[in-house]
Amino acid sequence: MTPGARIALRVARGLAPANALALALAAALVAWVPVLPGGGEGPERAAAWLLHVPAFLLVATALALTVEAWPLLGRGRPGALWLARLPLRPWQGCGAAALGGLAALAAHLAVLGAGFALLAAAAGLSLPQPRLHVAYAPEGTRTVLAADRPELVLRARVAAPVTEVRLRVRVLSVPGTAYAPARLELRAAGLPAVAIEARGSFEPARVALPGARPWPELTLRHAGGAPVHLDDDSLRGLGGPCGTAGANAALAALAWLAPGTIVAAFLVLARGVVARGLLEALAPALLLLLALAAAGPAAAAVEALADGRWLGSGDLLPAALPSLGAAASAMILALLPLARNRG
Amino acid sequence: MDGPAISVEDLHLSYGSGWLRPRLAALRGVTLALGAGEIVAVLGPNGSGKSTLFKVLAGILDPETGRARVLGRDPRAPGLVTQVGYQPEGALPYPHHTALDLLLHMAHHLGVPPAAARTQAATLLARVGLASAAGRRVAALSTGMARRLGFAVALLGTPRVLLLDEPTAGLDPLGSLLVMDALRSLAAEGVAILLASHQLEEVEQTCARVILLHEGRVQAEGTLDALLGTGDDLMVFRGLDAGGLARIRDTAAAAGGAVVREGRERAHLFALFRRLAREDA
Repeated sequence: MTPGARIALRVARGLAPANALALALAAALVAWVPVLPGGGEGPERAAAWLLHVPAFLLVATALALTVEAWPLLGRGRPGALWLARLPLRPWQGCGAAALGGLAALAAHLAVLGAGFALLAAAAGLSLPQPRLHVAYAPEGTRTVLAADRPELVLRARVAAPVTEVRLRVRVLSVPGTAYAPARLELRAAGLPAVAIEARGSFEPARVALPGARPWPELTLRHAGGAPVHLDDDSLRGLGGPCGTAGANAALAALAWLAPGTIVAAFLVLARGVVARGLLEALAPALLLLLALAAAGPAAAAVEALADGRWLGSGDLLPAALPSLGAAASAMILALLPLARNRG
Repeated sequence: MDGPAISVEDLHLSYGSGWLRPRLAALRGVTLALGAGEIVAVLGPNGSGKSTLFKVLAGILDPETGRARVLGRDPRAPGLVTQVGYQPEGALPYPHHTALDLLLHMAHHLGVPPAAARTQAATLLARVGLASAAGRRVAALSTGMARRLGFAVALLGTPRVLLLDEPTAGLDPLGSLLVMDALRSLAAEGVAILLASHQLEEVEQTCARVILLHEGRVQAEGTLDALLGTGDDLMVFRGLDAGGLARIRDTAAAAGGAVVREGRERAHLFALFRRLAREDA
């Protein structure tokens, strides 16, 4: 068995009680959601966001277990001398240890996500049934609809059948004028215009479309009231159901692998100069910073879960590629000069 | 290979850059050589440079100046790790592994094929008296058992040179005896053994030659006879009564000498342990 596989097994075994604890914590938090201020409005959405807490706990524990399992992660560790003389190839040393730890973490994150969805359902807060989402982007650079710029054409980013359109816009207030809800019209080829009223910012409005077919182009027209601003998420086409809420939650939890990989890369980089205790303290701190900065795909994945967007459709992975690429490059760069120094 | 198994010439090595950490010379011109089948002890107080010398020979540290060769090659040469067994001081890696798993894991690192690794691991566990502890976690082993397991790890592969940094530290007398007997047997097979130890009695009984290190320098080197000298002549009498002993004193005085020390000889505890161990075996 390779060193990476042995460390993966070790971390997987060590994560089992941590995952049980994370699920218990998730159950407690989910039960608490309905009594949160504002929890009555879309408590399922609030419940989805709670996935961050146990996922963070699991990733931090996996990193600590990986550091503990590989004596070369951390300066001057007991047992390191036994390994320091071995001609470990780059991916047999700290790289293998980090990958082993991350592989075990991936398996546990998937279990956590699926378990979280079951717990939420048991608490009466079933996560939204995932559906295929098609984003519509405004043609050109203009993103505001107003009386003097009344029409915007929006194009579908992918050609997929949709049965419904969801509109969520920011309603702008104009200084010196009384507030009035924005009145919009949605036009699709061959269909009569549908009137929509947006009373407040990001209030979702849904319009059903006949049949299930791709609608490559939709037009929005301003028909009075306050001007509105559209972003990338303002107009979405909703397709049929995809997968299950449990599978979607598992994929959302797996997005936590990205910050985990970034921190693992940091551990590999810092191992020669930082003692084990400090590494173990720095890892969760860095992870927390990444979470607070919403770096990587974890925040977007949980948002998508709350939104009922099917994560298996593949637009989240490309978004995660830059951070994963940076982490992998950092790891490789850290390991290259160590082919001789055995790490 | 015809040359020495280990040769070191004018080795210098310092710790610390001199900027943030003061520069500390650990080795200052160490020179030594060791042939196949020899057991040589490196003695010296703590901080004398013994472990640093072993790290250089194990390929962990690069000397600043000087030359080190193990089996005629640079200590970092690829492929040398399977021919050079190294037991550093301190804890073993992977405390969560079982004793058998640790051996298999380390054998994997050394490139020993899995089937051969399993056979060798079982043989080595039996050799160091840990066959019954094969399934016990490393963290749960006593200090002495862990040290014996470390000795077994050093024997993985096909070592022609052994670098053992205090292999008997923390061992009970029987454990020490087991390790020392194994060393003698390995030396008889032609393995060159360099060991550091504070157990001077074991060194006297096992090593033909010693090297005394002090503050990074070789202070003395040679065979025990050469270093300790022959001293007074020693005669041991048995079955004499007080009158017989008095006549011997008189005889010594008449020959121009004197009996300088008298007493009753008692067997050493170590000899008792050795005898009991052999009876047990």
